[in-house]
Amino acid sequence: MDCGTCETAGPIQVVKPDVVEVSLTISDKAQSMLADAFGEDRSMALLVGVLSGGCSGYMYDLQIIEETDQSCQEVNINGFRVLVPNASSHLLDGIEIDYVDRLMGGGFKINNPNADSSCGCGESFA
Amino acid sequence: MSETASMDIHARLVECGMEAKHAQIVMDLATHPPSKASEVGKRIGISRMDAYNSLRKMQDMGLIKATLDKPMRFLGIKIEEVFDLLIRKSEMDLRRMQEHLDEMKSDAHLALLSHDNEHQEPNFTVLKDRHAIMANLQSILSEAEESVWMMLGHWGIFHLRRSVAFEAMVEAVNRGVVVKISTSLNDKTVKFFDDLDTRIEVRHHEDFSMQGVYVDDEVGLQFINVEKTPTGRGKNDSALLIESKDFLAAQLELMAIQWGAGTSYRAAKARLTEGKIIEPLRLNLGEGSYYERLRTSLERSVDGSISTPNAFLRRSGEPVPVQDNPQAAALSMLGIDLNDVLGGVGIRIGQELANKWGSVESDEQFWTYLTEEWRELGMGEIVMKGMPPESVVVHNGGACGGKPTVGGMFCHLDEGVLQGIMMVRHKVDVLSKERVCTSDGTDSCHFEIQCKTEQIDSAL
Repeated sequence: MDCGTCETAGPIQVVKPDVVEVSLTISDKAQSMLADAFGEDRSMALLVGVLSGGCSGYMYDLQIIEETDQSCQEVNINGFRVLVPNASSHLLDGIEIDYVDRLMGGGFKINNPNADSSCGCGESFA
Repeated sequence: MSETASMDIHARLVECGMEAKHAQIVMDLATHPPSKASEVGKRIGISRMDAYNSLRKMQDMGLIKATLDKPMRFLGIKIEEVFDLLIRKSEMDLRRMQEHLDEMKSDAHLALLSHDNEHQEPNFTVLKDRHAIMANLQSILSEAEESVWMMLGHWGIFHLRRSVAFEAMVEAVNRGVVVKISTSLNDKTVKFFDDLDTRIEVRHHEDFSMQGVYVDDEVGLQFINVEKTPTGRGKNDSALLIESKDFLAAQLELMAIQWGAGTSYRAAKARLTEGKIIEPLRLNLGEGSYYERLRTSLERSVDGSISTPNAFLRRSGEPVPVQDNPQAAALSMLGIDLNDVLGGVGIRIGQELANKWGSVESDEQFWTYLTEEWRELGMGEIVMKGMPPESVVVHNGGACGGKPTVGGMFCHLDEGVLQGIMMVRHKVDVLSKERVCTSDGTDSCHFEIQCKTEQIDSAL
């Protein structure tokens, strides 16, 4: 596969993804854990994004914020304000935010129907 | 001479083999001037003729002297001289027996008269009198090759230390024989065990009353009757000397089980002398296959697309801990309930507290101390109903630190403490527990334990 930096390579084409209207769900367990994290104040929002990293592409980033400069869509789920950046909307449409218990400590898990594959460690997707 | 001293000397004379009546006469003449047979008889409560016959017999043995006048009067010798005489007589008897044995061994004709009773069939012998029993014990301990398992009940160590068998046991240890002792330790016997060779392992069992010994897998000696008075001479003690491999195998199996359930000497002594409970705490952590639970939890983890976390939660750039007690969650996944674990630890603490204040005789005083200490430790306010308590309520214990969803298990710890106290102090167990928690929307918390009214069987 051509990396695009050699002399023989053609010009790099940057494809800007379409902004899609996002729908997402949050499992009961995840809502319970978010409730503990948010406390009484529900004026804050949960910003969902994707990060570089992991052995196979991206990992997810959940931030409790007051506001953001990013252009976002807001979804309200059972009182939780969830923000999804438009730039990532094509990646995050249809996700379920879940929480899983593990022997070595639990954590949030994004189930994403858009993910082509999951890496061996399960911490990222491509 | 006091009556107690007199009885003690009389008992010792009898123990040395003297007839009880003769011992009475020795004691009588030691404390009276030369007396006629009728006077002696009158004083010790036997007929004149009986007294005369006994006195003449004792005179022949050199135990008393007689005057030459008529009627004859008898006078005693010093008691220590009586003991010397008895010892010399026994030594002479021993020498004579040894000579007979040597002659028989060297004379082929005499040896032929003996039937060879060496056989492998199980057999037993009834032994009477603690001296005879201990002499046999000494003999079998002297022949021990590998292991000696001693059962010393409540007072057996007294008898052992005062007997010839003790040295035989020490010699066995020095030969490399493994010696184990099962006993029921008490505050009067601790010092005797303290003095034992450290190579001898001692374990304590509650209410263990057996006395005896199993040597290797060949011979056992079991006491059938032991005088109740620990300092008695054991005149009426009896025991069975048993030679049977099958019997020994079965008994040793039972002893191994008993041994496993015993408490180490160090732990038993700490409980007795310091009121501390230091033995390992044994807890039941639930039923079921832990291996299966581990497999289940790992399968969920290794199947990454299903259950592995893949998102960080942050606030102001800092990670937010969403699971307050990951260790508890992990244990829960393996089926281990931390509430039960802390409840068990609480019971142990309660038992120790009850031991600590065991010397407080009044139950009311005991609970006053406990209530005060409970309050001082910030563990809430104890309110009781009845004495012994039918129920104990603790208001505003705050064991969870105000976070019942996270620290609720500490409430179980406090309940366990009270349960342990009830078990030791009042010998009753807990019937039920009720808990009112702020997590249920109430303003204050309390828990109540209802106690059984019937005493539990075994002391803890």
